[in-house]
Amino acid sequence: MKHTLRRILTPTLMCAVTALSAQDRGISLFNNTQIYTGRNPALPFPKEFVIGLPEGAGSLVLETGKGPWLIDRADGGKDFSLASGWAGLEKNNYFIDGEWKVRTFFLGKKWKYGQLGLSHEWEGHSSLRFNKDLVGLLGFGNYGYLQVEPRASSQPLDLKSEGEHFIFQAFTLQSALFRNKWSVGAAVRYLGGIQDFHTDILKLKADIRDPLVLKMEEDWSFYSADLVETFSVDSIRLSKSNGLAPGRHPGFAFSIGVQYKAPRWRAALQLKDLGSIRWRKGNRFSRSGNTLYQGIQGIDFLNLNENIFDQVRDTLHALAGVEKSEASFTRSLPASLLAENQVYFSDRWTVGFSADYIFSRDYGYLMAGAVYRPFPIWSFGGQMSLDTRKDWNLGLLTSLELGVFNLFFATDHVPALWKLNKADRLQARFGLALMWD
Amino acid sequence: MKGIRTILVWLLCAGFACNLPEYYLDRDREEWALPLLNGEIKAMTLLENSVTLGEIRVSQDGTLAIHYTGEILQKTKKDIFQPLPGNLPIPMTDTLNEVTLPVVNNMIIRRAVLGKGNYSFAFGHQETEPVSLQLWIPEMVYQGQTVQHKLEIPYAGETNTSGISGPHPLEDIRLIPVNNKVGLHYRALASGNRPFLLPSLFFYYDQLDFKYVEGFIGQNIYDLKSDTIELDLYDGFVQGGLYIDEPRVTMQVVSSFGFPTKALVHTFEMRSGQGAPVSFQSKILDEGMFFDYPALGQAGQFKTTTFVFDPSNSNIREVFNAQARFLIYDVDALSNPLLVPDSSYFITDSSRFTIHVSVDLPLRGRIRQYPASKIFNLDGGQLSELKEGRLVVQTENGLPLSASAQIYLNDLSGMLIDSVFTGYKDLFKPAPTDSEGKAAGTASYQYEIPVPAARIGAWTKTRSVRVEVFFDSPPGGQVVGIRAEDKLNIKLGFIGKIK
Repeated sequence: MKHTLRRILTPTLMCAVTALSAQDRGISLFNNTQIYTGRNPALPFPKEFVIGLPEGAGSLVLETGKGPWLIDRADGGKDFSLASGWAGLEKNNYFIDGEWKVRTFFLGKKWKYGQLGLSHEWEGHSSLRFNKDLVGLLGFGNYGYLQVEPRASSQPLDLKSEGEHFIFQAFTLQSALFRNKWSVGAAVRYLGGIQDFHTDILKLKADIRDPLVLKMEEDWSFYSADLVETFSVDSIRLSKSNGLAPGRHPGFAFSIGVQYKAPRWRAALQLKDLGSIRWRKGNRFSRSGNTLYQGIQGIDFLNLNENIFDQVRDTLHALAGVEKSEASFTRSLPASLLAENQVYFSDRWTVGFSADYIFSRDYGYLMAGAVYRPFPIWSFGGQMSLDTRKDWNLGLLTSLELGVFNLFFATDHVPALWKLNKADRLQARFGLALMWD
Repeated sequence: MKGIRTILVWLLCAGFACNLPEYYLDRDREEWALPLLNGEIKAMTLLENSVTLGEIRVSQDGTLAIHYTGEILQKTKKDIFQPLPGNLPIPMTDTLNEVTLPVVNNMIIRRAVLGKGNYSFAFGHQETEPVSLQLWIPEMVYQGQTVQHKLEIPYAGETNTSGISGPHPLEDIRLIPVNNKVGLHYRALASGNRPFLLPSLFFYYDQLDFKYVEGFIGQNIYDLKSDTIELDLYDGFVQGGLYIDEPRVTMQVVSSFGFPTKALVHTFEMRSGQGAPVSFQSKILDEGMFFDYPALGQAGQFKTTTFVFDPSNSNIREVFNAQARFLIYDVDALSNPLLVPDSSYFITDSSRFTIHVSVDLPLRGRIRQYPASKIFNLDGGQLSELKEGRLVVQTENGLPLSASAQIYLNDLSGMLIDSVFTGYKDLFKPAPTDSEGKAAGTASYQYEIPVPAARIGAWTKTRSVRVEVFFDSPPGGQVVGIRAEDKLNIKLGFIGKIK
């Protein structure tokens, strides 16, 4: 079992951390001058013609304690050490959330009363919620954990955790209508799921108090589409099937937005990514029930069978068997509600506010920031935000407008300047576009 | 700064994520416990593996005992009282002929019921007229009537007339001799009832057998063949290694002969595998072994006499604990040992006399270095899954014995690869005992068998395992009893690193 859990956990952790950066906070301060993924479709393009070049955005929020998860090896390499990471876990529950977006292109045209845009994006979301005991059990083994964690010798361990990971691509068509000070817009996205993995763990408890007795209480399942092909007690095989095949896992999503623009300020509201992907060719792996294993029972030690080790292996396989079934399932995108407001004090100063709330993750933030434009070609700014985890974040952003060339860089957290209370966060967004009238 | 470093590490990890070959999962601190086997060794099973010649029994107090038994030596009425052959004619020279019964097997018959056989009369005369011949034997009664025959012998015109009467069955005729004699009477009448003496008259019988015979029995020695009981409990023990506290030899004699008997013990001794024979000494032998028997009027009943040789009446403890291997006995039976004059005893057709000797060795005693060795076929190739660690053995011992062992690993050709321990290692501790030496609980013990990384490679070549175990009772000479329900529970698991 440990092999499997470890092999599930490790790539999940690793893939989760591939997601560079965090939620879109400061970028909304540039929403009148830059084109970026997730922008409110009701907002008019900055120029009449827009060609969006590749853009990347990502966020990573992790609360993984104070332990060094990576340790130096004598040969100069690094080891990913669950045991060392566990040493820095002070409470029981931790998480890693990550998401990334890559825009490959954007084409937009604005008219007097409306606009139209077409883009293509790749997106990935990863989330892992784990507890201290799960890390300890995997890092130290059941016997090793018994030696380092006193609770393990006095009570069963609740290992309940959650994992979610999915990647998809999207073709987005957006349009907007302008009427006086108002504009409304909508974006429709055709989604092509590439891979999905998510857990549904109702119960997962391990009792390791007696090293020679394994007790498990389990009621869990995980779903996978084009990621995990087979899963057993001592092996996991990743899927070789091609999630890129058109229409393999189809989905749709849409966003709607509205903006009101006054001479010195404007406000916008967007309901973003309402939609889902139908993962049509997936698998469900599940286990349910209580397991008590004390070795092969009833052995007559005076007449041991020569294949006793094979019996042990076969028994373990039988005990830890995971039921696999084909499953189709629908997963919603993490929809959110985003409100933005900017006030223009002068040609050089802009102050902005935004609030975002992701429904499925029960997570949101409030942001306030300012942008200074010392020269027509350069802007920079900063922002502070407070999220629902009660973490304050400091972010920076800058942009250059060199004729038709526009680029920006924004980050919602600057660890060198601002240390968070609990979680580590990294967010970055970089984009390039050609825009002209 | 630690947070920054962490993030940078995450960044680095993130950037290359799933494809970085130089990033490995650190497993140095993993230590897994994996239960392997959970079983038991029952005292009964242990004994079954050690004893093949005896029968394992459970005594009334629950203690195990080994029961060895000898052949059933038997004498029946036919063995000791053969039918008397007849065939020689008894001449009847007068009208009354008193025949003295033969003394058969030293027995003077007073009453009898005859068994299978026939009798007849042969006659001859020269009378020239029909003759009437009447024969009777007052001491022989059949169905309440005196045995008698009346023959009408016609005259055939010959000078000599002869003939035979019979055969007449003897079976079920009651014989009541007077002074050990039977009178053969006859009366021959010619015409006009003229009596005359037959010149030729003979009484024949083909055999004289008895369904029941009663009378005085003198002293006869009935030879019962010698027998040997082979014991294997002490096999493998060094001298004195096994001390049985209460060995017992039981001689059971069952007799339906109606006369007293005494055992004539020619040989009753124990031999060890190599040593000289050691004779039994017992007051039972000194006092003589008299066997009970059914009294007159109890014909058909069996009387059982049991002699038990135990430490209270013999030197059996010393004899057996001197590495007993063979119990050899040669016993004959002597009838009417006190030679009571004018005594009257009986034998029936179904009378039988059996001697059955058995040995009981209750498992109460002391054990020192009792060896048990067994070879198991085991495929050590599966050990290649292990990296290093130790096998953990948890024992819950309900046997009042301890044990130490060594484990030898052999390859396919049977050659020794390695031994698991540097010397003999304690396997389990003895269970606590009550005042009678029986287990009164269990003793828990745990030990570990190192599985060093450096030796796993060699151990994977293991194809058979030879386990040598030496059992000991608690130190101090305490006598312990082993019961059928006593058992040793063993849990075996692996703790260490797994590849």
